Amino acid sequence: MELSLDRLTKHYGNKIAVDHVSADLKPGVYGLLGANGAGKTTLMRMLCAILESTSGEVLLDGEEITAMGAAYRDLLGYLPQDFGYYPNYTSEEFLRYIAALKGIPRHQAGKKAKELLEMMGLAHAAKKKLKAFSGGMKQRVGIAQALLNNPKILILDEPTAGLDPKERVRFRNLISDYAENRIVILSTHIVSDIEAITDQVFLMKKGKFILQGTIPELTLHAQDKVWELVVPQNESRRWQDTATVANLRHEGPQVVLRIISDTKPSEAAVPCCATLEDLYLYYFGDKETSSAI
Amino acid sequence: MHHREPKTSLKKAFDQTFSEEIYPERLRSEKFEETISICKSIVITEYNRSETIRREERTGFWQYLSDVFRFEGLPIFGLHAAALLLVCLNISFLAGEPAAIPVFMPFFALAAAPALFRSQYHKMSEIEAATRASGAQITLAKLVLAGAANLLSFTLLLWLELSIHACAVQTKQLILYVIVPYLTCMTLLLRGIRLRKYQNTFSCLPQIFGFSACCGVMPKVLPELYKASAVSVWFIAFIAFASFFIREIFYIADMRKRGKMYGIIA
Repeated sequence: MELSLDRLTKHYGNKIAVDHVSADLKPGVYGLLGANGAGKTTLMRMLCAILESTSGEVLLDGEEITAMGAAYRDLLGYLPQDFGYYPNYTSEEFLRYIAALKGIPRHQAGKKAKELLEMMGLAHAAKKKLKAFSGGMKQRVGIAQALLNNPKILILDEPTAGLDPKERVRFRNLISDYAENRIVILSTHIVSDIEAITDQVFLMKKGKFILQGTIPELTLHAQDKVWELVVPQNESRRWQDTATVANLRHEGPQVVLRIISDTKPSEAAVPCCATLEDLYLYYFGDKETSSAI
Repeated sequence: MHHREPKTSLKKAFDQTFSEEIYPERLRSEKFEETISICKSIVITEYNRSETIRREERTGFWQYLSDVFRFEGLPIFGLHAAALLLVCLNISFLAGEPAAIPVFMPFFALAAAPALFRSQYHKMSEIEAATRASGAQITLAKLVLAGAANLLSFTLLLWLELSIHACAVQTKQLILYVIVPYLTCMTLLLRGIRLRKYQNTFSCLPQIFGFSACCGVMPKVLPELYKASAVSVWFIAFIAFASFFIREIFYIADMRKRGKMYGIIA
């Protein structure tokens, strides 16, 4: 199974949301990393065939996905970034409703809904109305609906938003198990989630893939650009104003700063190993990373 | 049991297709191996493709319709019943005035609107559009249910008007007074959805109520239009609006068949 993006482009009037993006995706977990407005959601909508591209195409094993129609959507599980719910449905009813839309026969739908609620730790809330659910619980129902049809292509837009650390770990393990022989594409601002489960990462900026590769490959791009510097507390503010500070840690009267810089920021600075988060900060700078964690 | 030997069959076909003149003996073995390799890659690609899209058991349209009825039936039929009650109450005060019926037809068209726009209102459009059903099939199923509810409502309305009020006009006239405005309103509503822009969706509402107001004014301005002699005018209007409506339905059905999205998604 191979999902190919061939010069995929989307314009909204004069604004280019996705700009000639190409990639070949084989089974595995792919992470999409980028600042708000980088074009991740637009790209994901095109991958789900719910948004028509301005030019370019998405092919599954050489066949255009929009031409495949229902056959493609049969293979697809999708969790949008900003999704709603029918407040008067219970979580079980909601999953049965989505199962009906996915064409899953009733006798299978009930069983599958129960299984997924169990898997998501929501079995106790199966008969509870969605309007009474917390944000994290709704997010888990959203993930469950995406998995209902046992999809071969799973597209998750900000799947861990609203999940507490324990739920995030559970989700990451679930996706890692699930990804065997499947294509999983997820976008998130939470860099640690990407580091934990993805095989390959696409760094997206202004509608383009500016970098792609495995995490060790990508972090090489930020090597020799990450420094640690110990400064007195009264100098900490000045460094934060003038440099990209990835982290700040108080150690007694001093502050340890993790600085992203092309050049050695100070004689006292020592180089250190780059992480994906450092790379993100290196490419997106302070302004664009305001929403990143 | 007889086992077919693919390599022997392929060799035979190869020898039959390529004569000595095309591939001399010294090249034949090399070309034959090349042919085997190409055939293998074609078979593997096709196998992988069929494995990928191998279908699990899925429901057909009628089963799907029954599922939609399970979830959406009550609100659709309930709202139509409410619309019918409202219209009947109004008409009961206007006994002998069948010309007033077209004024109330938008209520029946709008009774389907909450079901049609429900997913947008609850931000469910994206999730629903990415399912096997897609926007078109969901809309079509809801329209079928709304159509069934309307059929019941109109039958009751006409029966009320004809038997209880002993309406003076002919049955066919009365049917046209009901159907023509209804088709007009539904066409405006579906066109609004099809154009896939929020402003178009909501702009159809003033159009529908504007049309309803015109219907209210028309018996006063053009009373001749409600006389038996004007049946042909109503019939022409029926043909015109039925064509528009059927065109919209065909468009949705075509989108459903092609598994395409329909309406506002994102």
